[in-house]
Amino acid sequence: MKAIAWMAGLATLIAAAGYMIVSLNRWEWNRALFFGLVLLIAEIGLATGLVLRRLEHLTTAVRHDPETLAVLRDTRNPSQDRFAWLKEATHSQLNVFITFLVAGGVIVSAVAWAVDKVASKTSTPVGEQRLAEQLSMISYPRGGLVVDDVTVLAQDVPGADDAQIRKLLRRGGRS
Amino acid sequence: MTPARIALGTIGVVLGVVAVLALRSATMATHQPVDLDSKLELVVAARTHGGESGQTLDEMVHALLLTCRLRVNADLDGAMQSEGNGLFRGTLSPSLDASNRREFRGCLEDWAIEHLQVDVISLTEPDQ
Repeated sequence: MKAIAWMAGLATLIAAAGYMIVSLNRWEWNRALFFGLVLLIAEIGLATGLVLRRLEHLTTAVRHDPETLAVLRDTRNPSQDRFAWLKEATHSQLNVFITFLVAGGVIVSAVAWAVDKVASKTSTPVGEQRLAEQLSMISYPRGGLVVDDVTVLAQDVPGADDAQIRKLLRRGGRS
Repeated sequence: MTPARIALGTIGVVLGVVAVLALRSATMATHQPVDLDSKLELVVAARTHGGESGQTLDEMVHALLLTCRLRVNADLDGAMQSEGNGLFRGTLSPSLDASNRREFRGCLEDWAIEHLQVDVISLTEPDQ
């Protein structure tokens, strides 16, 4: 399989180089660019394969001493069973429950924190500005609802019953 | 380093230099003056495959010639005439020197327009 891959890569390299030179000789620049790209890809692939093969040779060339390896393995400390407490029978039998409770609390807290962060990002300055514009349509009129003195006095002016003047006075106009 | 390796390396370097010089001379434009009244007859065979449905072969050949004539010092003397079976004939004026002919032929046969393949049948001086 490796031999086939190497042969295919080499054939691609040679064919692409040949077609590129022929295209250049014929002044066919687009074809030359295309075959040059294929040549570059094949070249990079083959170079990567060569480097990997050399690295593989380097790793296999450095053979370890079996006796040294055996000594190292024999003198290795026994691995600690960090979950031995799960196997021990206790009076309350709450070990696993407490573990799941704590872990579940951590997970739920993490999810809540994530939801809070995401929710806090949904209110952007642009959104707030848009909301303020929408609320301005139903907001109280500037100056409040109380009619000012000028408007009150204007109610008694002769001619205040005129519809146009009432429109001018708007808030203080008699209905 | 063994003498054989040195010899092989030397041969490789020489071959590389020769190849580069040959390619340089093959792609170098050397222009010659041409008679302004001269003409050049062009016959091409065009075919299209998988092109857009709204495009005709005549349009594609016309577009290719408009593109390629910008690379040389000649204009089409009239429009390209279709002779059927994908053959087109036209006249360039003034004529082209050897470099421009190679460049023009290369442009026409290049992958300049998608789905269009053009082969230059002849690019010669018309019979007087």
